[in-house]
Formats: sequence, C-alpha cells, structure tokens
Amino acid sequence: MVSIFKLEHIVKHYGGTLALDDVSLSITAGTSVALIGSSGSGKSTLLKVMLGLVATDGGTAQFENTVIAPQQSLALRQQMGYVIQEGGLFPHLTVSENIALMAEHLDWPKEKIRARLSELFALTRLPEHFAGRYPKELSGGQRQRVGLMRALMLRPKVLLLDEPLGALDPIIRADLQHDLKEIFQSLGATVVLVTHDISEAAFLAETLVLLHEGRIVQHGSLAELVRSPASPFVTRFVNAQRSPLESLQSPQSTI
Amino acid sequence: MYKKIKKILLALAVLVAAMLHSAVPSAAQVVKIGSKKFTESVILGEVASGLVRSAGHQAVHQKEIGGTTILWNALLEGDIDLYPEYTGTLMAEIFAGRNIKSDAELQAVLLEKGIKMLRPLGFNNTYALGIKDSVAARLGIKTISDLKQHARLRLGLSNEFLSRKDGWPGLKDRYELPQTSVQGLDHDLAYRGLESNAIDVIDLYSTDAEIAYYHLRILTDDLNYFPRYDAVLLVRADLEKKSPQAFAALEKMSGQMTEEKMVKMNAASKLRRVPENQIAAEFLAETFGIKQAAAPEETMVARLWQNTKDHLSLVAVSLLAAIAVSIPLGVWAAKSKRAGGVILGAVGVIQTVPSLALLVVLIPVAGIGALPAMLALFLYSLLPMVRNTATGITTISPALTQSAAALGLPPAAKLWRIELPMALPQILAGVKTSAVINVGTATLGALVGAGGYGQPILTGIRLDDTSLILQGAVPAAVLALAVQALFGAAEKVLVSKGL
Repeated sequence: MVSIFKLEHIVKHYGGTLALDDVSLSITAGTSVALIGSSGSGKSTLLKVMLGLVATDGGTAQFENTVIAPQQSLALRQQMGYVIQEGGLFPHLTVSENIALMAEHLDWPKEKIRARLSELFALTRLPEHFAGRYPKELSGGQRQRVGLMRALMLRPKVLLLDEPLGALDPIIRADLQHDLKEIFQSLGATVVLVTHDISEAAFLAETLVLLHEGRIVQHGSLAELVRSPASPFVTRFVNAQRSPLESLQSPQSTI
Repeated sequence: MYKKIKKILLALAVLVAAMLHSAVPSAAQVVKIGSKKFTESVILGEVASGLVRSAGHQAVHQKEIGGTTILWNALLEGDIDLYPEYTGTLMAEIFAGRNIKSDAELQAVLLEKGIKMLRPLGFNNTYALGIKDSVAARLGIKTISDLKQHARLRLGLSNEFLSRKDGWPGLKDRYELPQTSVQGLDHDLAYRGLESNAIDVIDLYSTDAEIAYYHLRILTDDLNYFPRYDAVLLVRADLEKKSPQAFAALEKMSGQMTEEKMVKMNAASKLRRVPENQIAAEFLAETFGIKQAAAPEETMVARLWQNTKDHLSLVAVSLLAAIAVSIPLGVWAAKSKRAGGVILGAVGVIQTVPSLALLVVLIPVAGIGALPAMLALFLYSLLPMVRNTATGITTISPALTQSAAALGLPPAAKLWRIELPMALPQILAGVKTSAVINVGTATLGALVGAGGYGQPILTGIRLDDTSLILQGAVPAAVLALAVQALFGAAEKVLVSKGL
C-alpha cells in the first residue's frame, strides 16, 4: 500500500471564505477515488491542490514524497493528467496539436508522437481522421475524448478529472462513463475524479470521499456511506439523487 | 506555427534596422537651406541656394518645412545652416518679452545663440489687413480704425497671425476692435474665402501677389501697430568658418531686393505658376549675372514615385519599430496589473498630444527630415497595438489558461503556443488600425521636411493648386486601402482556422 498522494491538514481561503478546512487525505497508488459533494464543498479546490495549481494556506501536500508547491510543480504536473469539463481544448490548435502539445514541447521524436497518438485514438474510440479538426468542429462528447487523450499523452501516473462529463447529455454521458471505466481498468493508473453525481462516482471509483463545507465528512465505498453514514448529511446527500424509476413507483409525488 | 512567427519577427527586426540606417542621410559638407511654407520664403530659399552654388558649394534646399518654430529650432540645432526670416518676427515672436528695439540689439542677441543676421534684403513685408476694394468703397473704410464702426464684418485670419503676440490679440487691444466673428484658416485659403464672400477681412503680407489680383485694399495702420518686417537671412555663425565662400556669396543678397521685385516674383509663382527655381534663376541672372542651368522640372511620375518611396519608408519604419515595441509592452501590461496601468496610461497620453506639437518637440531630439516624422508616427502607433495585445491576452478564458498551466507548460512556451496565437486576431486588428492611422498622419511629415504624400498637398495648398493637392491626397487614400487589404490577407494566413 504505497500512497501516491498524501495531504495533511490542508487549509485554503478564497478571500473571506474557507474553501478547505483542515483536510487530510491519502490516496493509494493504482486505486480510483471520487471526490463528491455539492457545489462549494471544496472538491475542485482539493483537486487543484493536488495539481499544484493553487497555493495552500496551511498543511502539506505531497506527490510520491515530493512536496507540491505551485512555483516548482511544472515537472510534477507533467506526471499527472488533468481533464476538465468540455476538455479545456485550445481552440487555435487541431485535435492532434492539442494532444501532442506537451510531447512536442519536450521534443519527443515525430515517430514516437505519431505512434502514441494512434494508441490514444484507439483507446478512446475516436476515429483517427478527427486528428486535423479544430475543437469547434467537434461535439461535446468528442471534445471530452480529446481532452482525455491530451491528459494521457505523456503516460501520467495519475489521472485527475474535474467534472469531466458535466456538460454532456445523458446518453453520451452514459456511453462515456462506460468507456472511461474500461480505460481506467486497462491503464491501472491512479484516478481521482471530481463529480457531484453520486451514481457516476460509485460507477467509476472504488472509494468515495464526501466533502461538505470544506471538510471531509466520510471516506469509504458507496455501501459504507449508505449503511453506516457518518452524519445525517451523508444520508441526505445519498438520498437527494433519485433514480427515475422511483417516480414511477410513487406516482402521487407528481400530484 | 510559432517558429514561423519567430522567423517573421526576426526578419522584421532586420528590415527596420536596414531602413533606419538608410533613412539617416550621411553628413557630407553641403550647405542646408530652409524655407517656410509660403511662396516668398521658398523663392528666397531658392535664390540663396543659387548663390551658394555659384560659390562652388553644394546646396540642399529643404523647402516649405512648417512655420517659424520649426525652422528656428532647426537652425539652432544645426539641421539647417540658414533660412529667410523677418525682423518683426524675430523681435515680436522669437524674442518676445526681451523688448528689443533696434536691429543692432537684435543682432547682438542672435549672435549669443550662434546666429548671424545678414544685412536686410531690401524689402519690408509687414502684416496688414486687407478687404475687397468694392466692399471698402461701399462702407467707406480706409484705415484699421475705421473697422470699429463695422462690428459685423467677418474676419478670416491665418492661424499663425491669430496666435502670434504681434498678431491679432495685440491688434484687437490696440484698436479696440469689436468684431466677434473671427475664424482661423490657412493663409492661402483666406483669399478664396474672401473671393467667395465667406469672410470680409483677412490678414496678409504686404508683398502678397494676390493683393492686386483680387483687387484688395490694404487698410492703413493708422496707430502704427505693426512693426517692420524687413526680410533678412539668418545664417549659423559657424558657416563663415566652414564655407567662407558660401557665406560671402550669401552676403551679396543684401539690399538687392525691393518690395516691387518681390511682389513680381510672388505673382510669377502664385498667379502664373512659374516654378520657384526658375524665378530664382531669372533673378540671379538679372541681378548678379549668374548663369545656371535651370534644373529640369521633375515629371509627375517621377515626383509621385519619390513621394511614394518617402511615404512608404515613413510608414514602414515607424510601424515595424512600433510593432516590435508594442507587442512586448502589451504582453507585459497583460501579465502585471501595475505595469499595465502605467503602460496603457503612458501610451494613451502620447495619443492625445497634437501631432504638430509633437513634431516641434521632437526637432531638438531628432532634427528635421524623416527621423522626427518617423519618431512621431512610431509614438502614435503604440496605443492601438499595446491595448489590443493586452486585451487579447487578458480575455483568454481562465479555464484555458488553467489548462495550459495544468499541462505543465512553462510560462514562455505558454505565451508562444497559447496566448499569442489566441490573441493574434486582436493583435492584428491593432496593427491594422495603427497602419491606417499612420498612412494618414504621415502626410504631416512634409511639415518637417520628411517628404511623402504631404509634400504635394502642402505645395498645392500654398499655390492654390487642386490637382497638386490631389496628387498627394489620392495616393494616400489608395495606400490606406491597400494597407487595409494587406492586413486582411495577413489575417487569413496567420490566424488559426480554429478561431
């Protein structure tokens, strides 16, 4: 059990508001973790602390025993893949330019880049003829696949995803969820995922970390959260997201 | 893509350096003569040039460069060796407040500044007020004092006269003139205004050729307000040592001119369109027996080509230098809020300085000719490009800048590969704006002797010659359109299709 991320007593303020309030979390290499919670709970901020994108106001964050500090974390970030909503693609670069941006910057040989691109197109099930297109010529789901490829290009040790499926319609979302799960399993990399959708979290990650007002409320599997909630909030959060089938069983709820 | 941009920038830098080098003329031993932008001054400049050449020296005549301030400063700085001036202007304008009464005193003051005033040329070209003879007869106006009885008369005064201490403000006080309709306008256009009855009274020079032509009456200066304006040559004292023969030749001009001769020469130029160099050649032949082969008149095509070359080099050098400075400044302004405030404030203030004032201010630094014009154009080009570069970068969405940072892209690579290419449409729009403004403003360069399309416009206004004005105005407009089209094409090539 080697922990790849080790966060201890992390505190982060944004102006007057406390975004993270004494958060400690250790993530084991090769596992998948979902950070869940409502908006403003601090889950995205926690992910950015892991990337070294935001400076903390207290506590220590380590990646493989190296302290993560925003000023010196360029090399660390290159070992992490980061995916955001809509992919965060650069509009002026084509699909392949977006994906290969860092590899080119690191002077990878052209052959190596080409081979890696082919692998990734196959892995994410995007036809290779999309390589020359610009982001504005892609659908939301396609952009998300490109964003994922860009994150995976340098074979990162960890994959950090911030609401990766947030802006997609339900059917495309379901397709991508399945594809993501397969990709995670085939890579065997460490995955940290931020989502507010508890069923998506349970489907994609082994462990759930529930945050509320900048604190970790509970850490465990979905079953543990349901059977032995640490606080009434956990039950409220779990029950807040109904499946559509529930409404069928109780038609009176529609009045 | 960004390697391509780097290459282009490098090429531009080399080009700017090369053009700047060619724009600075080599300092050979030639006598440089200046003249103001009215016909009499140009003719006197031509006569002086002829005398210098007759002494075996080379002479360069920087024709019609602006007004008194520009020429006086150019003389002090040694950008020109001599120019024709008037004693009244020296006493009342250049040395206003020193209360100089006599030519001897004036000579002493000038010598302190290293300037020699040669003996008067022989005519007095004083300021005067003129009115149409028919109007004057109808209203019974003979003297300036008579104007007091006719408060409704409209005055059209040259801009210089309006602001000079020995001009309108003093005149109005001395005669207690009641007129309220007072317009500033170019002296050469004033005659047209009078002819078309848009104005009733104008200021004029007593040797103007138009006085007889337009049947004007000169109002008697019954309170002796206007000082004498004896024409003189102002020559840098060091010319006497540098080229004694040239200096001696110039001294021959003293006392050789009369008001009558001067009016005739002015008329030959303004009314009969005889080129000034020909008028001067005739005078030199008659007075001194100096025979010169009159320089062949330039063809229109040759002149257009020369003006185009001058204009293009003004625009190209100033614009390229401004691009090289503005884009880094814009990036800096985008990256640091504090620097941004200072930078945008500074380039904004430069933009508000009137162009003529900026040109005059630059003369002590850059002399006359292409250099001050290029400097002024360079300064005016900064604001649109700096501002557009800064906004182009600051308006990139935070999600994308964060994406770039999360990838682990170092700041320099982030700038070259993400920020500049994404801001490129805005940057190019700024360059285009600057270029178009630049093409138009460069016509003012003629005022400091920089040539370009402003030259025929200036001469055309002076000689009241519309076709000459169009020879400058039309190509300037065409060039502005061409520049616009060029940048449209550049945008297609350089900007990513994904934007």
